[in-house]
Amino acid sequence: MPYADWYVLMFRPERMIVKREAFALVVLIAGIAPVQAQDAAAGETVFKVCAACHDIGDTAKNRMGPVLTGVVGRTAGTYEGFKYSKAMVDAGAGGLVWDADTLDRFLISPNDFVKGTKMVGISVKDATDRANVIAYLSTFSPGGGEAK
Amino acid sequence: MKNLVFVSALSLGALISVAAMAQDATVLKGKDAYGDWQKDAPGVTRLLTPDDLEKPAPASESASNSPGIVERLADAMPKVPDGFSVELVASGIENPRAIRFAPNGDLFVGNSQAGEVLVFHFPEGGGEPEKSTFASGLMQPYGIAFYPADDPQWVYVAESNGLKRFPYKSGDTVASGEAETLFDNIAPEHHWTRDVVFSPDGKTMYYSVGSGSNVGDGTMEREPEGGLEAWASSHPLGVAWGGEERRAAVLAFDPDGKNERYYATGLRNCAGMTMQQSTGLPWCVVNNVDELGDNVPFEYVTSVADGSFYGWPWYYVGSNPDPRWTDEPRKDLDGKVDVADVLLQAHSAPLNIVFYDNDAFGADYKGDAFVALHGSWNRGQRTGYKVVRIAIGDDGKATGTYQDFMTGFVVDADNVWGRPVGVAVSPDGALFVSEDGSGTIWKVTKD
Repeated sequence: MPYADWYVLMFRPERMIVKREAFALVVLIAGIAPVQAQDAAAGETVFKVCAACHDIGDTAKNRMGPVLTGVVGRTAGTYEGFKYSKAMVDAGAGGLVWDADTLDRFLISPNDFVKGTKMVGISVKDATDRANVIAYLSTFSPGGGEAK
Repeated sequence: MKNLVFVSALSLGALISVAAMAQDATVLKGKDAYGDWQKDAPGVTRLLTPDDLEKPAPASESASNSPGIVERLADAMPKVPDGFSVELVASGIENPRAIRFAPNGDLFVGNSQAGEVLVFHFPEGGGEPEKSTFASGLMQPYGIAFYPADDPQWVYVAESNGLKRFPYKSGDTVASGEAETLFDNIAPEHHWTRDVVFSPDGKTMYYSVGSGSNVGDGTMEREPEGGLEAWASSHPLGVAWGGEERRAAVLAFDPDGKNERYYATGLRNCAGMTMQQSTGLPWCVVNNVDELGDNVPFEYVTSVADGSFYGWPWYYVGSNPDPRWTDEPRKDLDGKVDVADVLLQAHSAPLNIVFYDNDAFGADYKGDAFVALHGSWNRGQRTGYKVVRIAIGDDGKATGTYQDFMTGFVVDADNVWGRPVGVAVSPDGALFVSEDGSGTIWKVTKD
């Protein structure tokens, strides 16, 4: 803890409380802002790139990549019938569940996040694109990560 | 009679060429030619014809079998024919795709997903190539061309949404100036590889664009707005509509990117092009439709004539109707579908092609072509993952046979270390191959 915080805690505890409230407000804003920035409709456009390998929707089939219906909230490497890499199966067994955060980190650089994934040579570099496409995926994942 | 003699001479030429290519090997035909990675080896030769095509399988039998990518062990080397040697030129490249030599011998590499064009300069007397970044911040750069061919003033870079050209003079390893955008209004989604080549006279530029879907699903209505008849009469043969307009085609332009027109249509995904200097025809390697079973339909390599139509999305390999369109068949196109020169096993995934116009590999190889096969996902037993040699007769026409030239990228039924993408011939006649599984570039020379 920095010296200034020690000072406040020791000698001006009333200000520490104020500070904690301010901190909570910052967290609240940080938590809301990205949600507001997410745009599932824009994500549908981003998904056209993903659709070269991934199917989504009620009648989706495994293609080059696994079906993404319900991916948000799913344990990694578990969609029925898809031949995942050992790396992805192991990651799921180790507790990796796809949510907004893990999907974001995966899409920055799949092979860095799950070393040995079959999803090589492709990524979503733009942070807004990632947020939007994850929002789009969430609309196919009832209860799995959709903003309530 | 004159015609008959001509035909006989052609057939004889084809036979001699096939015999020369086959050497001691037999030519595998029909179902015998349906191999997988376990049967691949340098020298294995195949010939497929439209008559060898099976009926499409039900969608439930469509395989989902993408390869696992494992790290290449240091001693894992691609296999090449006896009398040839292979060496690793570069490694650790994020996504090396199309590769092209500048006239001075510098190798340009489309590092597609990194958004870069790299240059490898090979110092005189050997030694490690010097790598530099020619340009960055690009949108999935893939095809690269030098123009004018003999003394290039520009490097053309095909991006998924258009085409740029950078100023160039021989020896440049970093672009000396800003790119000029010739066009940036191509739909970039789904099939994203674009290639660019010039006619031998330098007057026409060809730009290939893959489809935005597997078979028109989700990108085009069953009928165009205004009705089929009106559409067909106001567009060149076989042009698709909706999100597929200006796609699944080779477009032609003037070298400045103006005067756009359709050159050829119905090419689902011409993922790589090259120019055959002797005939002046661009050649395409084409990825065909998925989800019709392990052996349907054949992919292909073909010379592409002006106004030709290869069937997509309504037909494949001639006038075989695609079952996904039989409720709304294009009767008007039946019988008007061109058949490709060389049929490759289904799901091979050909990505790039180069003609071998050098003497270094010997007279037997001169005029033939090399094609890189990225390998299958939609097949139970893996196929592709190799470089094949395409037999070309003395008349510049393909005989239809193709032969494994470089194999050994597959580790086992589940895993591969390499996925060939780019092929290029250096000025001194070595064949260079890029692969984007491990991110390496290889050089093949004759002993």
